[in-house]
Amino acid sequence: MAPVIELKNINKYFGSHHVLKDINLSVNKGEVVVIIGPSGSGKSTLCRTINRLESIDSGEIRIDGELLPEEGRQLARLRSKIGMVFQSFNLFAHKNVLNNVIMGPVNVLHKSKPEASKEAIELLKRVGVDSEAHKRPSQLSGGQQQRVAIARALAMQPDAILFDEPTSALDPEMINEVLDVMTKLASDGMTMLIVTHEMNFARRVASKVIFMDDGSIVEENVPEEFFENPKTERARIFLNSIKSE
Amino acid sequence: MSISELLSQYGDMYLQALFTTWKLTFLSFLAAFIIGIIVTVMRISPIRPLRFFGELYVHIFRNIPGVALLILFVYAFPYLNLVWSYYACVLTATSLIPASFCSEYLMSGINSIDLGQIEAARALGFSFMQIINKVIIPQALRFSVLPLTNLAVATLLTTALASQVPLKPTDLTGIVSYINTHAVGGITAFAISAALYLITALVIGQVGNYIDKKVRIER
Amino acid sequence: MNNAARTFRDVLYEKPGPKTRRLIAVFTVISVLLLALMLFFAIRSFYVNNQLNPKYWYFFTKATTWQFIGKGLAGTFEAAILAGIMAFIMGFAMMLGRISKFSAVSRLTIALIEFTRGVPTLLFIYFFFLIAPTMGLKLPSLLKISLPVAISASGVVAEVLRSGVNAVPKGQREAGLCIGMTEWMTFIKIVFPQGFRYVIPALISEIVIVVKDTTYAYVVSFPDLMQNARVLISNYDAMLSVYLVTAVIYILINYILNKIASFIEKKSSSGGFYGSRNRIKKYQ
Repeated sequence: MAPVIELKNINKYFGSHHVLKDINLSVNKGEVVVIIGPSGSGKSTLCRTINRLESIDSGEIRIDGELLPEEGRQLARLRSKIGMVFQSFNLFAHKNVLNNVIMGPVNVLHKSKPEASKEAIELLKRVGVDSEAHKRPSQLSGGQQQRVAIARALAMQPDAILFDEPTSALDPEMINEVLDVMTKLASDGMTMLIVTHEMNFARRVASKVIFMDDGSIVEENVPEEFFENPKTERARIFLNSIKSE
Repeated sequence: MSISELLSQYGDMYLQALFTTWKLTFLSFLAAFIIGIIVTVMRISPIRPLRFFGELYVHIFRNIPGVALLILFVYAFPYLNLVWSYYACVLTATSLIPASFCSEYLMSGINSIDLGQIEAARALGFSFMQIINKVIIPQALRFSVLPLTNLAVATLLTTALASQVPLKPTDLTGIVSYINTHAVGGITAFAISAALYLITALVIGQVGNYIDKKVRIER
Repeated sequence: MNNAARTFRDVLYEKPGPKTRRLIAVFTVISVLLLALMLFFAIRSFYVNNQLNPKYWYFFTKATTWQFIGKGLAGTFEAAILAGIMAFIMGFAMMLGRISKFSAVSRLTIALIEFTRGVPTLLFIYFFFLIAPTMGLKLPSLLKISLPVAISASGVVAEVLRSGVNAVPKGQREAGLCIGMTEWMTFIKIVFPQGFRYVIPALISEIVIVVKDTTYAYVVSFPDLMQNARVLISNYDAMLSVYLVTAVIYILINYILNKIASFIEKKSSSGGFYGSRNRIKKYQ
């Protein structure tokens, strides 16, 4: 079976700055791939190219074996198969929690409102914010907002979910409530690609760790090996630098 | 002249003047809103010449004095074989100018939208038009209620331009000058007109506040 | 993330694919053609109506014409500056009343502010032009235009100043009181100067409105730019060209003022000292 996400020879420039250098990466069904690396290493950009929130300059991206086109309906359809959770939550400010979750199913999957709402309530229960279903995003804590965002992504019944630093904008006491939800998702078999700075979490849930530096994938390894005995010097330096913090 | 004397003599005229002002305000605001939306769409479009035209429109009409525009329509345009009725001249002037402000308000409403939401919608598989219809317009309109309320009041005040042409029936400002040239209306005529403007402005303000409370997006 | 300086347009439009690029190119060509067509018809209509005839335009090459326009401009500036100063003084006083601890004073001031903001400038002009003289108040024509324009602007100025004062952090006042300054001294020396800086852009935008309102000077026969334009028209029998040039001059003046306002605003929002996050919404 084709990988859920497959990147081949991806290159991207911001002006003259080469931000993604010949990236090859595949995420198979049920895998949890965690991308780590110093800030500015291109990991967020990489995450955002997968559903083409960032364009690429060369290479190809395949979702379930299908080539991701540059524009049009096919692009939108493939995007809808890949969920995304952002650093800044990005909930729709004019909709309450429930309506945030059903926005996708109703408008993109053309489900009926009652049906979508029923499923949404279930999802909100799953992430533990069903009691806030009729509140506005601004009335929720950051941790709650991020869990709603996860429910919104799940509502599309995606083949995989991208997490772009999902806990970086959260206060320390809220980080765990989000990581717990993500851990549960992982154990339920959801395919995930996660950009994060949470090393303990990465170690616990990752089936594969990808270390990026300066726009390239430097090391690809299983978590135990990567954290105990990294293959590359750069990964070793990076891990030491965050240990000493 | 006392209020009762003034009203018995000019009461009907005042009523007509009030309706003239209201009608001008309503029509101008409506036209300004529609033109404002069109200009705003041009300004955010990816088509460069349209963007240029939209910006040019705003720079011209937010900076031109109302009288200067009205005089162009009334006195100068006939030299181009464009002869409009006084009413049409006033209405055009009191629509084109507020439209530029309307576009400015809509632009700032649009700029208040958190950009991440556009990406979130895109990641869900929304098409461009769905993003416009489901995410941008509902929010931009909500952010624009109070500015548009101010715009409605500004439009009301702009319609006083009508007093600068011989309009029949005249408006709330024109009637003050009419009464004062035909009789000694004195301060009473002024006070009645001012009060009617004020009441209208306050009502517009209240309606705007009410709508804003209903639709406001808390941050 | 790289969204520090992303604008709305950057995010709304994705990097276009080949189809979108073609579409944009087609619409660009169409819109250029349409705009060119509009321009063509505008110029043609000038031409067929003989408005391009040099006799309507040659006098703009004469120094005396521009001297005369300059004199009119001087009148406009005189009226606008005087009105601006008066509006600032009245606005400042009203702002003080508005933030007064005595609720009677503050309520009365609110009513006054609403009054100046809800009545058209022209009506105030008619008051000083037609009604005040019958009550024995005879003003020179400069004041007949400047005073009503100032009154009309004063309420907005008061609200703008108030929002600036409100934006000054509370700690500033407390710090002033702590070093032994009186309440009034703290306000004048510490709070107001800071609040004033916040709202400089909004005040400049208000000057634009004042300049526009002075165009009613012809009502009271004060020689401003608009009034002098009329003289030019009767001298050269050139209605369209003169009014058009006059309008362009006004547009340019106000354009420059607005540019200055947004320049200061940009400088301040990028972290400069003149911080004004929330530019005050004003009536035009």
